[in-house]
Amino acid sequence: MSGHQETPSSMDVDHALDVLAQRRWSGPLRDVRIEEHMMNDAKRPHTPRIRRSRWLVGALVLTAGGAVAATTGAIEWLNPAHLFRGQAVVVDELGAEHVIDIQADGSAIMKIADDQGQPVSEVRLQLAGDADIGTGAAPIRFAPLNKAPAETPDR
Amino acid sequence: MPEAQATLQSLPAMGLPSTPCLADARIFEALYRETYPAVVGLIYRRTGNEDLARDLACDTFLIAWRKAPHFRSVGVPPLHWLFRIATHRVNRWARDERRRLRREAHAARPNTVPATNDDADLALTALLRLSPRHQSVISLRCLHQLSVEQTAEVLDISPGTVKSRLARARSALARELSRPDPRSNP
Repeated sequence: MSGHQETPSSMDVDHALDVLAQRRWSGPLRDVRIEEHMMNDAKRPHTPRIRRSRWLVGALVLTAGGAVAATTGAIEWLNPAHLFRGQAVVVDELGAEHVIDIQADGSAIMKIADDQGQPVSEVRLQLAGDADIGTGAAPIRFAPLNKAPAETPDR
Repeated sequence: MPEAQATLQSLPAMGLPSTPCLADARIFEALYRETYPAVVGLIYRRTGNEDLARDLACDTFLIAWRKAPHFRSVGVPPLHWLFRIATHRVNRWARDERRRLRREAHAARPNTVPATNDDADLALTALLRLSPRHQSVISLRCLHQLSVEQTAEVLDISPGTVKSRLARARSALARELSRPDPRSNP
């Protein structure tokens, strides 16, 4: 143990347990919703692990291809029920929710729905940019593949 | 046991049967809403890290969701079943953490882990040096204040084993607390 000295701690067991028991977690409950199509999709073989999903949410830029207009969106929350299925919800600037299916290869598919929630089309997404472990609420941007990727937002 | 009791008592009020079919999405959602704070709280007290606690809680619910079709045969209340899964998951993490702490102690690199005089951090460091088995029983019985019987149910051991294991765990914790703190720098 060269390089630094050691000092004995002087705490008894009861005090140690007291201070540990006082640590209480009181964070918010993230919303949860399990939809019928997720139930039907329960045996999909490529469900990525939760940590990988968080990594994906921590990714800074999503680039989308297809007919969707370029826009800016944010993953407002990570829905664990979605994550069970390897999914996340993107909320665009108009407040519309889009479910993205995160694939094992790191790509994602975003389902576009109309005002009544009926599926209209699907857009294949490609993640780009540096990534780190996100907080679960990291802002992201996405844009069609045929346009320049959105700039990396400040974290 | 305020957190755990509130959850256990509220499950019947939600109209859930005593042995609910957790593979039913509606019931699993309700269970998630009711038990998420307790599960994260249990993990947080053992890890001291909120982000990590959320991650491990997500893992716990993911495992629970996959095992949900077989829940009826487990024979324990839903919350205790989740605590059991969470405990196994945290034990896996704890084994890795113990190895990391040992490596750092051998490397003797000052400032690898920030020195601290915070009692909670010192206590947590001592707790994490224990075997995952001892950590589990201390966490459930002393930190989360489950009864001996409830702790036995979560750990799937007899109440007598809980008592003897807890006594050994407390002794081990006392030894760790009296050990020099390797994080103390000159």
